[in-house]
Amino acid sequence: MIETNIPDIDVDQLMEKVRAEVRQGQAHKPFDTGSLSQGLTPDKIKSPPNHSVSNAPVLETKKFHFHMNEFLKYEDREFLIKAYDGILWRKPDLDGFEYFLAYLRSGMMDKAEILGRLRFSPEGRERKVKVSGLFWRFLGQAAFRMSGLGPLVSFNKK
Amino acid sequence: MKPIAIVIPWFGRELKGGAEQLAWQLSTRLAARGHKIEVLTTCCRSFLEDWGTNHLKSGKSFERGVLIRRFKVKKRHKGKFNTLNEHMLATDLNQLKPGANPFSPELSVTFVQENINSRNLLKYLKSHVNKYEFFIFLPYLYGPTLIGLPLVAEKAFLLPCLHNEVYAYLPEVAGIFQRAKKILYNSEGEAHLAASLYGPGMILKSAVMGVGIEADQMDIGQSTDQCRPSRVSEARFVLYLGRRDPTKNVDLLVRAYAQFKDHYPSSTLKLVLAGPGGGLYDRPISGVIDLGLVPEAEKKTLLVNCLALFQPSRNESFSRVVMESWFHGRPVVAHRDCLATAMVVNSAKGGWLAETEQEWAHMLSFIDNMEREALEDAGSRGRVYAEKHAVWDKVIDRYEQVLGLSRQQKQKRKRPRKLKAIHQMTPGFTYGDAISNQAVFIRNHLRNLGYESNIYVQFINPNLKRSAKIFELKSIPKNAGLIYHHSIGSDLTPYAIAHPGPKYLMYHNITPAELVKPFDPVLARRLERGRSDLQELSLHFPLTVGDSYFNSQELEAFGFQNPAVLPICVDPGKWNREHDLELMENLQDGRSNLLFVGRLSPSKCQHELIEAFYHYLTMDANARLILVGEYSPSDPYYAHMGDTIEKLGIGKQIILPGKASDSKLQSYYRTAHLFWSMSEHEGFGVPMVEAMWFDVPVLAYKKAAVPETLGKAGIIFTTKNDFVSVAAAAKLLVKDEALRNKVLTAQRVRRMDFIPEKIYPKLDRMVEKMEKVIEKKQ
Repeated sequence: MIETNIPDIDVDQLMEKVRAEVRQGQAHKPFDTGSLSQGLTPDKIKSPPNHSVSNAPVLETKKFHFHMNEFLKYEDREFLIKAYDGILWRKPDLDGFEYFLAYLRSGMMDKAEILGRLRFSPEGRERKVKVSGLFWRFLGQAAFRMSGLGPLVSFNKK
Repeated sequence: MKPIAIVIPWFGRELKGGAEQLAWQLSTRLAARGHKIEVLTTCCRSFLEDWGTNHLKSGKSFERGVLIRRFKVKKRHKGKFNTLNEHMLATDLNQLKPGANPFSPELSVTFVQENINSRNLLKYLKSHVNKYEFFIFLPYLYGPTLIGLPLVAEKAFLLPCLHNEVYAYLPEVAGIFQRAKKILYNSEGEAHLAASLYGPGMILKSAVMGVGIEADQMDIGQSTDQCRPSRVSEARFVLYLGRRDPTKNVDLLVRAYAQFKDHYPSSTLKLVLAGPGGGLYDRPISGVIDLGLVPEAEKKTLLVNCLALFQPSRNESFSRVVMESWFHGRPVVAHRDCLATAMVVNSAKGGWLAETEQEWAHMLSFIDNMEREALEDAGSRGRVYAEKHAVWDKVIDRYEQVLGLSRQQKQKRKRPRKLKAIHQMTPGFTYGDAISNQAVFIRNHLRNLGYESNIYVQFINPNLKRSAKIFELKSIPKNAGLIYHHSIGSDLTPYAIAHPGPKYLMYHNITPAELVKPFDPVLARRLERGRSDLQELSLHFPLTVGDSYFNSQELEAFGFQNPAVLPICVDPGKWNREHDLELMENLQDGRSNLLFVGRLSPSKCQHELIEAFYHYLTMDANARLILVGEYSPSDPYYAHMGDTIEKLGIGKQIILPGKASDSKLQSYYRTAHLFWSMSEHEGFGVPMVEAMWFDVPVLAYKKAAVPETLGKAGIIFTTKNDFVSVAAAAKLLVKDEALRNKVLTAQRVRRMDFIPEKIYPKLDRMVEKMEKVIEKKQ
């Protein structure tokens, strides 16, 4: 995949170094982005992003209040990135990301529950980000998992 | 020819400083060849005297055919200057950043004002600009040069005698390097240092002249054992020659010798020090012989009998003793950090390099154990180099040639011309735009050839009205030549088709509409129109040229006959101006700067760059991505990019400065560690060549004209399926010194294909073809 016309450079050796870097980098890699750009088309863009554009680095401003729908509109890994960023103000750690992604994909956990688990975790409680509409929804999901109440809530949902 | 003025603060045959000696040799040797030389200097006797005292009489005097004009120095605050100077010298060299003022503006101004200065000399310069053919200022760090050179900048040659020291980082010093018409260096390393400190604007106006050694007076090859000092009569020794003080790094050498002796106590190798200076080094360490200042004959004996010369100084613009050593066939060990000596040692293969104390100690044992023949081989290679570069006659030949004093210089032959005017037509004219810059370059050359030449446009930024004119029906006479720049559909196209005179179509390529259609349908329609016009245009333009072979091939595909190639001129002289000091300072904060320059466009794929950069951060977390380029906040593609940044959570690591002024763009290039492109479409790719001028390695996606522009330089990747590996290659180009150097060496060769001198002949051929068309018509 690498080419050069510089006679002093051995492309095979260079590729070997590239592979070594990749191996080293992957040890520190939080997660795979997949191909974000392929999924993005102009029709999905709602508004220009909230980035300051100047000579200074683009700064993120931290929000303290969201409506749950602001997270629910995202799917799959994008949902998790958004949720971590909004509620915990950080990128997902590898373990947490893989754990939630597996549950989300298998349908064993829905988005509201993941949001709740993040929000009401010790770290989330420290951040104190308000997510409107989450509390009752999360409570419902949590109750569903509690023995005894579960079938009742489940029945009511139906 | 008018006289040539050499401007220097102190002048005299007996003065020992390197610059003063050079001024003496240069002025008297040029005068001896019949050139009219005047020296403009002060009444202060020497560097070592008080700079505010007039020791010598003002007025004219003659010496060895040179007219010397002395001017009174002005009074100065000596104490203020000395305190400031001490403060400056205490600065840690490793903390200095090229292009950033290490001190406050007030301090650097004080340094200039309280330096040695002469008001009368400055007045004389100002009022006698026309009396002289040109002025040579030396060295760089004193008042007459710092204040005097800007007064006669258009006729000023700077002979800086530069080395890597704190004064070289002052903005006033950068200013004289930028303003001088031409810069003359003593060594290749010195030229290299200037480019790294003041930017690529230095490169094309630089000439390496060398410095002569009086080889004829050195009795080379004669045995001089009778002059051998008694203390070294039987010794096997390596030699240090020069001032014996810490600024020359002699302490390092002595410590290294002590380390060597600790490891090899039975070695008989001695270290001999000879030269002026106060420190004595022979007391604590046995085996170090400090001779102090020795007579010339003794110095020769030492050079003849030593195993090698050791030159540990980091502050040399040219090391005379290196050449002297080589003339005597002795190899040299020099400091790797001193560009001036390290580069000549490497070029000559006349010795070795060392940097740390341990390396110097190792080098002592290396020399100690080396066969005499191997030492002599290295010494002989050095001698070949010295005979080529350090013989005065050859040095003066080079000066004559570079200063235009040589009698053999060719006169340009003027061709007979039928055409009186060759104009250009282009839809728009914008500051910093590649097509506009090329149009200006072409116009200037056509005017130099004697043609009337203007640039006519449909739209123009009001600030640029001097550079181009709005097209009107009678702007271009029927019998004038026309160069029509085609890049996008324009209302001017029918007029270009209708022009009856000789004409060229210059094709700059058109971005494929499908790349921008989802984001900007209006632009996509204009691009489609530009492309569909090509078919029609092929019927009307028998003469065509593309700015790359890639573009010419496209022309051929549209039915044009034998299109030629005229690459875009990328002249580093453009950067011979001020940069943004604050930005330079901020961007040299230890983080890796990854740069792309180009308007924000789906065809340039900045969104993919952001994604690849995300992977890069996993390998080098301390990095930033700078995407310079025009955009509109309402552009959906900008929103797309912002979205990508937001999703990846890397907003703090990305800078989007928009379209940058030349001063800011220069700062971005000068501090960049990598130029990284994901672009899907480049008809030429000017920023890649600009990056080459700034010594920034290029990593780019293999598409359109990109591989052709990179030629035998840069690194390209062929797929976008694996951004992780592309990011890994980017990291290697940033961090792997050996790889970087190989790429930069290749880029330094490739960039020379885009300088004006390489483009002129191709442009001249186009002009000749238009002339032939008009001849046939008549």
